[in-house]
Amino acid sequence: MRGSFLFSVLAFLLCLFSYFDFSSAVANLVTNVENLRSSSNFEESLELKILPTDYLLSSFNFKLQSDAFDFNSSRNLIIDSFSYRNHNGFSKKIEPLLNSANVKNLFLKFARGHWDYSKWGKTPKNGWSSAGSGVEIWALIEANNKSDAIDNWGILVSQLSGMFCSSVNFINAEKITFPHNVSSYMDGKINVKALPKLQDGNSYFLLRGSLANEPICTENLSPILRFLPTNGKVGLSSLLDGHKIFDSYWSYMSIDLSTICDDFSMCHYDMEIDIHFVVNIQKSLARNRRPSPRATPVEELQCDTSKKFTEWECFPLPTKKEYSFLISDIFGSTINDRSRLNLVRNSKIKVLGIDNEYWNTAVKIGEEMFATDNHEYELNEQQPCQYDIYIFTNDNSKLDTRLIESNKPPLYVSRTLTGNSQDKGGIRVIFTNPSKTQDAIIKYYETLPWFMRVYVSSLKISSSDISLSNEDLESLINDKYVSLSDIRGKPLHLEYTITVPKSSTLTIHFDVEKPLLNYEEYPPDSNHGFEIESALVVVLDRFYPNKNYFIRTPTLLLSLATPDFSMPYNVITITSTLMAFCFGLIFNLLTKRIVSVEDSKHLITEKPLIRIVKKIKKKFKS
Amino acid sequence: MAVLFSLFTLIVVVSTRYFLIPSLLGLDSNANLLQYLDVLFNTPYTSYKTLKECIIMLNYNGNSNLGSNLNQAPLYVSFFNVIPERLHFYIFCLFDIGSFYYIIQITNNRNEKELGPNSSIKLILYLLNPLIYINLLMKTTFVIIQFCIIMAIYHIQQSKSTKSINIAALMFAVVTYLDIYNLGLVLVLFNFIKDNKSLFLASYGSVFTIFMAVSFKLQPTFIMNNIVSKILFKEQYPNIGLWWYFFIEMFQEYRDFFKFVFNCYCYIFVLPIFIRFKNYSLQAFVILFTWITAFKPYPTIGELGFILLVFVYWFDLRIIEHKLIMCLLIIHSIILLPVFYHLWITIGSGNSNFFYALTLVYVVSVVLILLGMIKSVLYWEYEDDHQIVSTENKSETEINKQEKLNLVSVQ
Repeated sequence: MRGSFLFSVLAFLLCLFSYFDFSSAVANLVTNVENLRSSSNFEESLELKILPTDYLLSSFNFKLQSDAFDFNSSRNLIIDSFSYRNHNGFSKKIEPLLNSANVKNLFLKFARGHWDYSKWGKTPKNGWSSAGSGVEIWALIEANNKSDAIDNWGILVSQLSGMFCSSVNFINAEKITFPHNVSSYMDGKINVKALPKLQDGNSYFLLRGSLANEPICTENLSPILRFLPTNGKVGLSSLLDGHKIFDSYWSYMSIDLSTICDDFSMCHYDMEIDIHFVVNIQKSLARNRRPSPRATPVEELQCDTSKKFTEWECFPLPTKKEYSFLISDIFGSTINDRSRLNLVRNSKIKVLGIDNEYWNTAVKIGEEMFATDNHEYELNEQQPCQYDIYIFTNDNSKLDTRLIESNKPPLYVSRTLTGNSQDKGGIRVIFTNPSKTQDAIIKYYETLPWFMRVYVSSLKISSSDISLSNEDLESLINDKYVSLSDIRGKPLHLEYTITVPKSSTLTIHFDVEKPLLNYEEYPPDSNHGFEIESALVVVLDRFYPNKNYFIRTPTLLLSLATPDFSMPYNVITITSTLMAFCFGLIFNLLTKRIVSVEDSKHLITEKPLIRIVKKIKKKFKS
Repeated sequence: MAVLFSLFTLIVVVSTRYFLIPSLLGLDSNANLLQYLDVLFNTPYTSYKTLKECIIMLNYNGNSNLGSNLNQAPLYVSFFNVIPERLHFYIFCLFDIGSFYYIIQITNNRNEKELGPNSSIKLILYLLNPLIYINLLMKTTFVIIQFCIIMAIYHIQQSKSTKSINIAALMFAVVTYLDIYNLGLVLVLFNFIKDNKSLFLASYGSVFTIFMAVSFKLQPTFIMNNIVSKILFKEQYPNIGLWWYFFIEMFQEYRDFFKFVFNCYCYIFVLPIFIRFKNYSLQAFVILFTWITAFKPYPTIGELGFILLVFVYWFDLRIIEHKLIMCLLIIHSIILLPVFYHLWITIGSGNSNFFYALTLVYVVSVVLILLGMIKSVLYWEYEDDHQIVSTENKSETEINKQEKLNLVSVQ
């Protein structure tokens, strides 16, 4: 009976589907090409930038856009299970991820390695595209109140940690902060006007959390490639190979997700994926030629002729002046075909930061090479083929000086822990303004875990400019926002607006006390220390708030005092024994009184019971 | 001539104690040698650093009441907020002078027989007590608690007038407000008062409630930050007590249970001492204070300074045995505690067990003192029962010769 009922339901459903299919098939066929052209919005580009002394910064950029949908109806997607939507290559994982945690904008950053600010200048995309070593997440969450927002964050990070195979789920309430001065960080990043309408009683919360020195590796890259419609197999993304990226000096991956709505609550998702990494050209070419380290053969040696130079002696030049390479030597593979999803915009490759007179570039298609003056290439062959980029120089020190000049960072920051004991210490941040003409106004955004008891009152400011008095120095801190830490609850959160005077160095210092933790809260290698996430420093641009420059300080390693982990039983037993003894001694004395020895003899021989009986007898007699 | 001489002494004392030595050391106790004694004298709940942090956050006009680091009582913070920062030390000095004055004033019949009416010995004992003095230099909360305790005792001894009872109640409300662990001492204070007990209770209760209510109005989180976190031992820093290592090493599941047990243990002798030493109220107060201090979560050596002082003032030292061992144990632990702490924390050549062992020694020495105190009171009890009048020039040997004594259970 039941089986036949199910069967009839299935049959009904089948009919329904086939009905829909057939009726719309003809119409679809006509509009299919149009749809593809309009809706598939996938752009990819690659910038190859030569940094001073033979470093190559490769910046991949992928932009995707979902189809527009009615945001209100998508909220009740589960009820309306018959609705369907065109798939235009935008990953299907994104929508459930954002909806389950009520997230509207999400910025996820993975970074690893060291960026040399003094040599290489600003980090890509004005510093927005960089994170302190580890993982950093910013999320705009719609929620009723703060604790709801934190709950949603929990849902989000547990999904992300599964999706990206990383331990971001450790960014819990102990590490989250709510940025106070949102506009300094998010101007130009979140379009407030385009956000979807809030449900009743809700508001938007911006949350930030980071995890220091989380090891970033191949398994974090492959999920990102999975987001692309080309799946990392076709187009520029076919260059991305985990072994090469994470063998670099500095690597960085980010996903920026945003929900963008028009006035009629038709919304779409925007996704931007950035992958940057820096390799040393010479070293990675050398590694290709000789995978195991060996001495340079004689014919490849370039000698410094200004020093002693004979048949037997040669001082090698620090780097080769003249070389040429194909980027496939560095990436390990050629570009396999191009992305054909976007019919309007082709994949683009651009080589930057070089002086035209001393450098040549060309694109290699199949076996032929084509060069352009502006070093920009579009991949637009009709037939599937292999692309490659050829770069040649006869003097590697000649770079685009104008670009280097404009790319100089407006501020250098360094942050260190001071003190040599495990109970007290300090945290010192040094801001250096190299500019000779302009004061820098910065936002100093600090998040420290609760197990660093920071004394905000102990703030000390000093400057390289001796002429400044204490009052002057204090007036340099224009605005303070402080949210103190809670034990096992929330981190310390400081946001200071500081003016760093031109061509000077400003140092601020806080005292820190370090408590002991419970024994189970120490990691297995407790004497290694605790990773402290990097601070964020934003140099505010006076005229264009979306040109704010972001810097992350290096992470810190905090060593805490440790108890002896082999002692629990000993401590518990010894302390308890001592306490029992103390109690016994005092209690014993309290129940005694002093009498002379003669009295005591007959008092002691009398048993307490007999004594009581005697007493009663006495009473009766009297 | 005598007046001139005493005036001269006073000037010398005040100038060295409050001006010369502090200026030589520098007022910032973090920068000078005293930082090595930090672990003995400072806890998050008593340290001057926390006070400064609280003052800063009081003046900060954001969400200042958030955060668990503000461990000081709000009224105490507001009081010091009014005073400019460079005068803070001199306020502590005033409290020091006050407690010094009142501790000499406190009269105790028995005590006058023992140490003589001459207060110069008392004076020297107080002034040369290094623990009390370092406590003053550290500017801890206990300087004020000590003053209030002494003042309360002074006034409650003259319990005839309502005014002094009210002052005592007020002072004791401050004591319990600044350190909630002193709450048990209130019961013992009733022993001092012959009548008017209800007046004391009423005025103490009302003042304490007002303090709590005003503080709650000023900063609602103080109950969590100051009281609850103290009782539940939330700020885990090493100190000279027994709690820190025990609860760091204790298994997670039993932690709450043992916190309950330790708190009960701290208060276990409130009732017994109240009942047993009804006639020796001052001594009962000191005995109970010593017990609570030894076993509370955040004890400091500054409190030991006060205990040692009143031990010498108000107890009969001739009856107490093993004085040499007591002295040696105290000196041993006070010297080695900072040394072992330094070895563990800074140099790293020792581990936490060294420091822990010394805290055990310290507690043993405090309990030895406690035993001495109780014995001396028991002997007085015997004297009073047998109407033995001890004269001033009677020495210890004479007492022992007179009669052989023994301890037996109370009937």
